[in-house]
Order: sequence, then structure tokens, then C-alpha cells
Amino acid sequence: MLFSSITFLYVFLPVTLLVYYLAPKQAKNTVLLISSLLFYFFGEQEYTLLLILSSVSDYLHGLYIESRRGTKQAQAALVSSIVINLGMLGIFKYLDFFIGSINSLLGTAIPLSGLPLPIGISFFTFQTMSYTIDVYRDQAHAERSFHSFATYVCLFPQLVAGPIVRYTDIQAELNDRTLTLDRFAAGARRFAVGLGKKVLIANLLGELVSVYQNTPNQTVLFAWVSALAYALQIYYDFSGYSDMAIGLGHMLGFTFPENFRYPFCSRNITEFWRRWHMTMSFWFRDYVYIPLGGNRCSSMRWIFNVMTVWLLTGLWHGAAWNFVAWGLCYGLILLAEKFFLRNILDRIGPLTYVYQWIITMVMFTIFNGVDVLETLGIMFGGAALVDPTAVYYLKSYAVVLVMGIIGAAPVVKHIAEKVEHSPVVTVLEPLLTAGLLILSTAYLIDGSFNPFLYFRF
Amino acid sequence: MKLRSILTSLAFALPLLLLALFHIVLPDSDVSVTERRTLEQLPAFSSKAIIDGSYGEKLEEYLLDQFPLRDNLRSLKAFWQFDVYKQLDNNDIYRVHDQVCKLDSVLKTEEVTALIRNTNKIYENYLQGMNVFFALIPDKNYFVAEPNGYPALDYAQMEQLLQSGLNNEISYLGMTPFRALTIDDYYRTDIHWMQQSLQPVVDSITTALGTGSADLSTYTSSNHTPFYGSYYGQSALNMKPDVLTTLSNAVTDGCIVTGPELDEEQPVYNQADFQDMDGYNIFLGGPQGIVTVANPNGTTGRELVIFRDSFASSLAPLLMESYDTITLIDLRYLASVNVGKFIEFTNQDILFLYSTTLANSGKLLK
Repeated sequence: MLFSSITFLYVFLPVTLLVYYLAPKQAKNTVLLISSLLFYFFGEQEYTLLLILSSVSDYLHGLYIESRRGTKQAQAALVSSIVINLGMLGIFKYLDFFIGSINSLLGTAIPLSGLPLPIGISFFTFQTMSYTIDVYRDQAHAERSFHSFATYVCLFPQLVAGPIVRYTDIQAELNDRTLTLDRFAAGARRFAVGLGKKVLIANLLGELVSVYQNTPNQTVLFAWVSALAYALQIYYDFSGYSDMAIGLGHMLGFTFPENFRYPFCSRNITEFWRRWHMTMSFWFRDYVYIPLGGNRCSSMRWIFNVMTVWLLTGLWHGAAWNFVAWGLCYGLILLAEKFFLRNILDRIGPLTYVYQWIITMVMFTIFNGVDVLETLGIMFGGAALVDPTAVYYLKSYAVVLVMGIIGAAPVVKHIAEKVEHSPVVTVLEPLLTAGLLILSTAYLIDGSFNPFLYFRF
Repeated sequence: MKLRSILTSLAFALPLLLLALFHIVLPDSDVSVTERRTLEQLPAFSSKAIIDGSYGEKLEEYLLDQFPLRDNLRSLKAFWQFDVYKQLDNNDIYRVHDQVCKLDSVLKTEEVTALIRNTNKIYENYLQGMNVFFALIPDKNYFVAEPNGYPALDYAQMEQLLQSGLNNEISYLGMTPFRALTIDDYYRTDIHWMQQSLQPVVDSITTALGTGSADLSTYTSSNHTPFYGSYYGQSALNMKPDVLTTLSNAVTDGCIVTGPELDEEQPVYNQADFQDMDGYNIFLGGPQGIVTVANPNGTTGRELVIFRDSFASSLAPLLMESYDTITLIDLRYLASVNVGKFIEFTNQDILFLYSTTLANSGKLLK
């Protein structure tokens, strides 16, 4: 079920919130668990059992690891937990990619498994892995209540597209959380903003990208406009989803970690990745990069560590060669920045932002995976500069693009902070919240273009 | 802060709860008159549908279709698209002055080729040795898209494809018979041309077919209102409806319309059909695989067969002075292989009369 669907907004959400708020405190986790399983089942019938099994597995592993902490058995249990989680990812996400690659390389005809990708598997396996690792490291206590642990794993706001919430992030709130009107209002506002980002900006930019892909006469201008639109689309799509998840968390009494911090305002790519999909970046930092040795090692080892992390980051995003290339390219860019580019970028003033934007647009063109080489060729002069179609769509989407660019900077946030205590905001904030909800509903009612890009990861 | 939190919470929760409540309380509609389509109904609840996921999909379609204030919300979106986002089209619908048009700018050669293939097959199977003509009706974009900065179809390329691909024995008229038309000869809210504007078309077509023309100034006009064209609903814009005018004289009044899909004989203009979802159905009863217009008092001894789309419905009555019988065949609804079961081809005049819109969707032809 998509957050930006009428079924979610006008059936699932009101019913869940009503029942949740009416339920006594000790029953709230039960309400959340049942509603979360229903939420998942509605979009992924056959794999709901997999989600439950994953919860059972890591719950038991967590208890065992804690009971044998510091022993070989605990280590074996940790390995077992990681193997099971990576095994699930391997079977459901990477098996066909692996078989297809073997077939292409060796000319074999090994049949594909044809298994559909369970929605959100990359998110919930990473969450449960972080749990058992944290328990093993004595950074978290094993959850005694299966009920509470399953609620954490299945919690619908963050189940299918993040943020990647670690057990330690919400451990305390799982068993004792406070619901206040202020938190509900903050959550409602955040959810409405996220919905607006998704429906009123990302979907429209997605239409523009789709138009470009279906246009027979592709030009340099249109290719760059499309690349810009795609980069902004994926930002508004994913950060909008994260906003909705964080907002729902607030409404339900949870505090989820932030996932984006205006990445397009970065001066370089290293900074970009400190601001983009932060919960994933931090996950790889804490559970892969640092265990590999981080940067406290030889240069060659450090290069290996960086490239390994970025290869895995690429693969995490999708089982396809374009994601592998995307990840490795980012690894190389980050190494280049570390070794020599940063010194140059520090001296070129505002042009450093241009560098970041161009790299980001090119990298998301690779990420998109549609006619990558051809599109990159067109972007860098392999076609006519401009034609009337490109001009038309640039004019037609100019306001949305400009809004997208402005919204990617903290302009609105700064204004909101300045007028925070103004009495006008007392009226303006509810109006904007309702306005975003109603306008987004109008767009959903009339439109059919409503994909969530990060569902496939 | 407390007051703001109360107001914000209410502003979020009330629309959700109220609209959900209205959805439950308000009766469902069967059809959307503005969108000219049947609406999804509450799906039947079954364990099979739940497990295979089809229930969820159907439920979302149902909720979208039956959403309270649906038309108002669609209008809100159209307003936002045009007046706030300054987008030049909404769902490919755009406005030029008071005309509403639909973008159709990408020439789909495989679709045009499919139409050519279909036409040539019809010719080879049924029409060899007969007088066969092919004419192409320009859509509204032809007149307004390019001059107003909208992406336009490469009409010259389409014509070139048709002319070179069609059997050489078919006399290619192309768009020539329609050169005198302007955008004002089409309804503002609809895809079609207006019957009262077709004098130059009638003159050109009858000249090509070698028959006498009709003087439309001698016909009696009847106005039918309000006529909400197909673009009216698609645009969701607040527009004045069109007036649909039909032209009649003693010849058209005496004609009878028959066809396998009609229960009984019909007049060429049936007022009851104007009340359909598509008021344009007033012409010859609307879309049908095959329909015949006969003039019992005709003395010309000539017959015409038109392979057509909906544009021909309003043109055919104006050709009845030149023919005793006109048979209209719409290959979107009648497969080519079955045409011979309904009509015997002897020495009729044959006219393929398609719009550029259909030519660019030629795979619709069976």
C-alpha cells in the first residue's frame, strides 16, 4: 500500500489512528502490529509470512546472542543471523541477477527463479541485521517481548521504504511512549509536507522524465532538463516518503531518524552523501566501513574499503549492472575528492555547487538505467541542441522545476523558523496542512502517475 | 502553541475523517457524465481476490472513482496546473483561446503502418476494380498546435507515409478536401467538426467522387444544447458547453438508418441519442461496426461505402442528395474479415475517411 494512495489516506490511516488512539496503552503495540501486518499484506500477500519469519528469526537470534554474549556461540549466532538475512536478500533480490549474469557471460541457459522482489526487503533486513549486530556488540539489549520486537520490525511507517530505523533508535519508545497533541500536530504537518513533496512535485517531475524517454527527437537541452527533473524527482519522492514516515512516527509516538538534510546544497559529493539517505549511509559506515578498518589503515586498504562500501551501496539499490556502475563511480569520485579534487573545489567558490549538481545529474542518469550510454551521449553533445518539443516542455514545467530547485534548499525552513512565533502562523500552519492534503488528494484523484521509486529497493 | 497544535491536528484529521465518512454515506454513481465513462463499483470481497492482490487494486480504483467531490477536485487540479504551475497542458489537454485540444504530437509510424496494412488488405479482399478514395481529416492540433508553440504532429510525414504505403489503385485525396476548414469549424469542447461548417468538405468530396454537391444554406438548422464534448470532461475546466447543430432537409428527413446493432429503423438524427453520454451520438446513432443510411426516395442509383471513424457520422447525411444508400463501416468495431458478411461489394463508390487521430492509432483497426 502506498502512502500516497486513497486506500491508505482515507481508509487505512483514519481507521488505524482512531483505533490506536482509542486503545488502552498496553494494547497500542498490538494495534500497531496488526495494522502493520495488514498494511504489508495489502501490497505483498505472499511475502507477509517471510516478514513474520524474519522477525521470529532475529528475535530468537537476539535472545540467544545476549544469553551467550562474549562466547563463540554468540559469534556463531551472529553469523547465522547475518547469513539468514543476506540469504533472504540473495534469494529474493540477487539470485536472478546472478543467474542472468552467468548466462550472459558463459552463454548458459540456467532458468531464472522468477521470484518477485518482496517490497521493502532491503530495509527490513538491514534493520534486523543492525539489531543482532548491536546486541552482539552489547550496544543494545535483546528485546524480551516478541510482540514488541515484531512491532519494531513490521512498524508500517518505515517498513517498506525507510528510513532505516535501528532498534536502538526506538527501543525506549517501543515500550513506553508519550502521545501529545503537539507531537500529533507536528506529525500531521510533516506528513502533509511529505505527501505534497511526493504528489505535487515528484510525480510531476516524473511525468517530465517519462515524456523525455518517449520523445523520438531527443536533444541536448531536453536530456539535461530530464536529468535535472529525475534527480529532483528521486529527491522529492524519497525525502517525501521519509517525511511521511517521520510524520506518521510522530503521530504514533515514535521519533525516527532524519534521512535527508538538503543534499543539493552540498559543495561536493562527499558532503552530498552526508546529507542524502543518511540512515543508509550511516548503516554502511557503522556495519561495513568501520568493521573493514575504515580509514585507519594503509591507503590501499582504505581504497579497498571505500570501493567495497560503494559497490555494496550500488547493489543495495538494485540488482542490475547500472547500480553496480553507479556505486563504483561514486566510490571513485569520493576517492578523487579525498586525494585531490577537494583542494581544487575549495578554490573555485560557488562553482563547486555547479560541480556537485552536474555530477549528481550524471550519476542519477546512470541510476535511472534507461538507455544510459545513449542519454549520456546526448547530454554531452550527441544530438541537436534544442527543438520546439524541448522548449515546450521546459516552459510547461518551468514553475515546477524552479519550485523543485528552491525547495531543495532550506529557504522555506529558514522562513518558517523566522515566523515560528508569529500569531499568523497559528492560522497559516493548519491552512497549509489541510491545503496540501486536499490538493494532493485532487492530484491523486485525477492522475495515474504515482510510482514510488524506492519501493523497488 | 497549544491552539496551533489543536488547529493543525484538526486541519489534518477532519478532512481525512469527513471525506472517508462521506465516501461511506454518499451513494455510489454508475457513470461519470463529465468523463463519459462507467465508474468502478465496490469490488466483491473474496479470499481469492484478497490473496491474489486484485481486491486491493480494485478497491483503490473504486475509491478513486467514487471519491466525494471528485469533479470539484479534478477542477481544482486543473486550476492548479494551469494557473499556479503555469503548465501548458493538463493530462495532455490544452487551451488555445476558447478551444480545448489534446496533444498528439508524436508520429507513431507503426500505428500509421497498421492503418495502411488494414486498408490495403480491405482493398485486396473486396475492392479491386472499384472507385476507391482515401481522405485524411486533420485534427484540431493541425490548426492550432504549432502556431501557438505546442508540439505538433509531422502531418507532412504522415501524409507521405500514407501516400507511399497505400495501394496505388486507391486515389489518395489526403487532406486536400479539408484545406478550407479552420479551427472555428470544430466544437470548442469536442474532438469533432461541426456539421454546419462542412459545405467546403461536401463540395470537395463530391467533386472527387464525381457527384453533385448539396447546398447546405438551403438546409434547416436545429440546435441541440447543452453539448459537452469529450474534451470537456477530460479537461475538468469550467467551460461553457457547445451548441450542437444538425442540418436537415426533405432528403435527410426521409432517410432511414439501419444496422445490426440497432433494434429498429432510426432517423439520421435521433434526439434521444443526444441525451447519451456522448451527445455526438445524435448523428446516425453513434459508434457502430456497420450502419446503413438509405434514401427510399433516392433516384441517383449510386451507392457509397465509407470506411470511417466518428467524423463521418455528421458528414454522411449531407451526402445523401448524391447517393441512394451510404454504408458506414467502422473497423474499430467490425473486423475486416467479417465485412463481407454484411455487405456485397459491386460497383459502389468507396471512401476511406479517417482522422489523423485515428491514423496515429491505426492498430485500433481490426
